Amino acid sequence: MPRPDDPLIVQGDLTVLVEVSSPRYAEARDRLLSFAELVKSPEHVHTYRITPLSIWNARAAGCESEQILGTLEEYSRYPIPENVRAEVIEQSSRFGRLILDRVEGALRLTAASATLAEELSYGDSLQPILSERIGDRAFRIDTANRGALKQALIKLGHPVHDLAGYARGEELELELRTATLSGQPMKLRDYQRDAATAFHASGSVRGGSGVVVLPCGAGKTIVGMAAMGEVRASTLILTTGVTAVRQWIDELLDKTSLGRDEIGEYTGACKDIRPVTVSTYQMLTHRSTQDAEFTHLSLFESRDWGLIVYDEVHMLPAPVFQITASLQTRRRLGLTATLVREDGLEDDVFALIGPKCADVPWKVLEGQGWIAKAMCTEVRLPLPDDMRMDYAGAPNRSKARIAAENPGKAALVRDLLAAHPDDRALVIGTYVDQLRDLAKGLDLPLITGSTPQKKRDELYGAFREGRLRALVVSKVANFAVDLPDASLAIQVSGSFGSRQEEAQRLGRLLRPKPGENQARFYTLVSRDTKEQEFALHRQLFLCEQGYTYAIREASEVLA
Amino acid sequence: MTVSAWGLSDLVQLLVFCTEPRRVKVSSGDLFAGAIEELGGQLDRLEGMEWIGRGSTVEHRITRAQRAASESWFLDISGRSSPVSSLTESGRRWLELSGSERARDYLEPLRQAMTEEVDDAWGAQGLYLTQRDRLDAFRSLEGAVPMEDFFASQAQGQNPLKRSAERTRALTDEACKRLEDRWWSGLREILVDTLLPSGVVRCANEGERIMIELTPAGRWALGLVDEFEWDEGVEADAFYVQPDFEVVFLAPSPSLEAEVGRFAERQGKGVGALFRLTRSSVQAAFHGGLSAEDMLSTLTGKSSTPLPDNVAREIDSWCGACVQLTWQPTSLVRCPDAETAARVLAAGRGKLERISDTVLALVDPKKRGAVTVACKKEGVFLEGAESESKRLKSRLW
Repeated sequence: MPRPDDPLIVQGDLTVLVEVSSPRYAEARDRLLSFAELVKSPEHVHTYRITPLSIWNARAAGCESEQILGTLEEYSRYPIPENVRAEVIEQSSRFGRLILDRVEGALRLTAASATLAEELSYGDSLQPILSERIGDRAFRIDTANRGALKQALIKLGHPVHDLAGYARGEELELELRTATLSGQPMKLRDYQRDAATAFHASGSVRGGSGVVVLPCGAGKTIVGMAAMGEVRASTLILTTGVTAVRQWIDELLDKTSLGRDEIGEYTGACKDIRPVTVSTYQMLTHRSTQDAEFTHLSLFESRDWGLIVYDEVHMLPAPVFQITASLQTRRRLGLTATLVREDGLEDDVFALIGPKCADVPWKVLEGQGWIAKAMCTEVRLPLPDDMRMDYAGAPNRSKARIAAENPGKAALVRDLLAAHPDDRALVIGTYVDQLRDLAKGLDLPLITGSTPQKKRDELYGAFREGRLRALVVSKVANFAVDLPDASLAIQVSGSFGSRQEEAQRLGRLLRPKPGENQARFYTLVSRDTKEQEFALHRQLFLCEQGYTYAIREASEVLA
Repeated sequence: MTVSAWGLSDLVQLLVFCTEPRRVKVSSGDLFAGAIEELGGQLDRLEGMEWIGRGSTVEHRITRAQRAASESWFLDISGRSSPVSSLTESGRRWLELSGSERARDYLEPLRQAMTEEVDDAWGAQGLYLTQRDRLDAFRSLEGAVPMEDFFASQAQGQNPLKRSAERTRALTDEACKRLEDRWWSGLREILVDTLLPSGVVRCANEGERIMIELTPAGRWALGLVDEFEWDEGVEADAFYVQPDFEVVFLAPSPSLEAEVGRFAERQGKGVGALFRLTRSSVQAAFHGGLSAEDMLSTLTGKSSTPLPDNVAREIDSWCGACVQLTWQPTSLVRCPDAETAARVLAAGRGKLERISDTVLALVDPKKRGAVTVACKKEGVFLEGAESESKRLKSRLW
């Protein structure tokens, strides 16, 4: 018989619905998270998905199939479909069938059965990697093929439990400060400490590689530094852009015992390799021509790195995956807000970076006050009469731009800024001409792709220190830019189709705020236009993430 | 896996499916292949039921459900050249019944057959029996028994054909065997065609054997009990409307599905995110006669939680953006140059409208002759128009 008070509905397609209003919701969610990935979390019913990867992640964290099925049975409203039960048992049993360890300095892959070993020995993609059969169930593996082996096996549906351990790397003295340079008390939050501890696993071979999933604004950088504090070895940090590199360096100086001479910046402007070096994915994938070698990949071998930190791991480009495959003796930490990659390479992240070792839902952090509450409002305004005819006759590709550059938005931006006088604001857009006009009209500084890095840093600094109340920025501000006090964003134009862009833009606002801890994100949209259609994609995405989304007419907002 | 009562659930699914009017074939009134495939995906799967043959195929099940729906006047076909099948008011009312009431209504004809002498013209060797005789045989089913054993014992020991024949003559072994086979196949036929789909009997595969058993509803239908409990779980009286436009059912409810299916795109069946409100589904419903208020009132009235503001606004906005236009035949005059167009326009004295520099349109088709005459006076001969006019006239007469 159905148990209406239980929050889970397990469906035959391996999705799990969770009713948020159920009294047992929180406990069910906490247990579900260990073996299922959150797909979406709109207000009332959340959707999770059980996949082979999510089951292997669970197994890597020590969760057995009995525990998975036990949780589903305990909280499920209806009987669990038989195929789900079978899939959990099957996928779960695959983890641990193949163990990679080290014997007398050499790598050894051991299969649970001779049959499995035999099956592997005939796999086309594996033959070049399995160097030599040693006994019924084992193979000797060349050290250089450790990553390639794991990558190839996961594509065949066989996760490898890698217990081969890591190189120690150059030792590095590193402590987290108890107070920042500016004198603010500095203490790890519980979830940050738990994530770093789970990653390190007391230095055992069961830890040392993995991915920490935390929402934007939850302090992933601090988890990275805490992990560095656990590993205490030279570290290479890879991130998404130069601004993010500088932010990392500032944070390291502000919150750790590292001195300036111990931290190197490896970017287009400066190629300094130190015990802790921060670089970008673009640098590593740079090459002079399409067929040329990658110029800077030697960075990986330039020091005896003990830890590599992959910031925003969902953005990791394919060539970096390739080189990561050969870096399996280094400890590896991935930091991300989402395990979902738009290119579908989640299995490579699992095989080459490591299994998920921490995942804290943003609702939990919002409830604890560690990230701000976000209110998203779409404000619709009409296109001026004299533009409607131009718009109606324009080809499709021009329509979005005409709608985006609705001149009525300028007055609305001004009014919204006036309506929230205490908020530090970002005015965000895609079209530089429009942004230039807005910046001029509002007498605000503008940052675009062509703004020199020095000028950007000055403006970001002034904004951070409160000397500037608002900035007009193009999409250069999307990634890894730390603007701690921004609590108001007004988006005047955007591609609206990219989930990552939306997540990153909103992420800029989520760091905790003093007072009501509220962030506001306005999007200005020309009514009855292509822009409104595009904004619907964005609306769906944000609602699926669980953000509150309201639609208002310009007249209502101003009233 | 136990299987039973798919005929009833197929009927419910068909009616929910036809909440949105569906095109059917002119010749037979059957659904088209695309619709059968779509509906087929929503029917319960009959795992391990291949032994019943054709009756387990999606096509057969849908045809059977269509026949039942049309006999009960739950579906109506309208339109001649492009007919559509749609849910009638009585179909809608039937869906609004509880699961137990629907089962009772569905099984009522069988229960009646137990008290009335309904001749189903079934028999062998000049011996004819009523449907009741065959149904009677299943009254003796106690608990779950292997189907083959049940048929064997009925064919040999409880065979009314044999009993009847033996009253008049001594049966040879061969005749006896023939009557046993006939009774066996007769019981199998009614089991497969009627009793399993209607849920009187349920069956399960146990290793190689097929076990059959009367259901509580079946015991009621066969007159063994006066009441029964319908075991179908809890039916939902509400759903969630999520801000991402999904309508989520946490328990099954065909009547609510039928309501929401009028203006939302179906995504699944049973429980889960069954529907998504999309611009095209809402605008199609609006075009079909539902107002934004109708949709919002259904959603507001049946939603477990307040309707998300963004959803309400979008539905309003999508309906507001609908524009109804009508195709209108018109006559165009194509001129060789702008000057001629100006002459024709002037001659037409308001009866023509300029479409471009050289193309004019006749505002009122009835003025075609007047314009032709007026142009002729200006030395402009609209010959095509004249002959077209004649052609139209000749067709009219």
